[in-house]
Amino acid sequence: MQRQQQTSQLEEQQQLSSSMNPPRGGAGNPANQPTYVEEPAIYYFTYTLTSDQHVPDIAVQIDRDSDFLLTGINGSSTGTYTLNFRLPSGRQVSNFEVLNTDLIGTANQPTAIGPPPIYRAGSNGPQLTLTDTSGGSNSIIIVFSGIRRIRTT
Amino acid sequence: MLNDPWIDPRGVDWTDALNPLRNPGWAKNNNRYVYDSLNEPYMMALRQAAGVEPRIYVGPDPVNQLIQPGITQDYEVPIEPNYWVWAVTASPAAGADFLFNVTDSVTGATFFSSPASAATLNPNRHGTTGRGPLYYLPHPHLYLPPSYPIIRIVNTNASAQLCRVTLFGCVEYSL
Repeated sequence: MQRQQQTSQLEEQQQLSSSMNPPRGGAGNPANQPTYVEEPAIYYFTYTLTSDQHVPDIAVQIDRDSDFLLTGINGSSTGTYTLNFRLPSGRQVSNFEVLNTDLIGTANQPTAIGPPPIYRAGSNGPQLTLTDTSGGSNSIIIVFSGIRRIRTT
Repeated sequence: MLNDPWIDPRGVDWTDALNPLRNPGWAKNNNRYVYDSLNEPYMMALRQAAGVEPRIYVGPDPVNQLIQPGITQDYEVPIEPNYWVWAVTASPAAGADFLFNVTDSVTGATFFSSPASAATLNPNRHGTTGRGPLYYLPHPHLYLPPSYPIIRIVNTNASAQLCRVTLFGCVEYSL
């Protein structure tokens, strides 16, 4: 008799609990969240500027299969130049172009860009604006390093 | 320092660009100053914050970067509201130097107790380019509206030169 009472109390509690916390569905359910695989990614950009040349908004195309988290910038060049680039919001990262030696890090220590902007798959990426300040031909290499995020489900 | 415990790379958040564990130049036994700066509680919160994006401000504007010898010039940086600054760079002309400081327009707080030498902070001058160009502040500075940074540059060089101070940080934006 006592056992029967305990069982009915338990059922009652379970009913109450289920009415207070209805089963979740849709995007709120962790099982329905998209899953991703993350891999290291490097976008390698090269450009040769002529003397005092200014080029705006050069696209760095992001692969169509994965988003890109930009975490660092490094590179090299044969002369000085200034640069700016766009964030995923469309705004430029800097109010004026930045001197390359103030922003471009080294392969050992890429300049950290954080919190990392996320460029969507297939987008124009960090569209670069470049201006030569060396007064001669300037071969530029800029390496955008970060993480590729591939959606698996 | 060599007795610091090994950190399993599988436990490092590689999506956090300013995580000092992800760059060898910021390792605790390599650069304790930057390691501590990036682990400072406010910095930790900004590193992982949602709704902020990186922002760089260069001062002075390109038209006013050529400063005559012995001249002191102030530049009021036209920031977006709620700008957090966590690093700075300064670039004098080759073989030259200038002094600079950054002041909060409302509180009067300065980055340095007295104007700092740009050459001293510039890694190209003392062979530490391998550690990157940025000089990290020990604590990020917030410019609450209506405050803004004022960059003061004193050209101590004997001739005119291009002087640039670049501020690195982040601003808030709606998602």
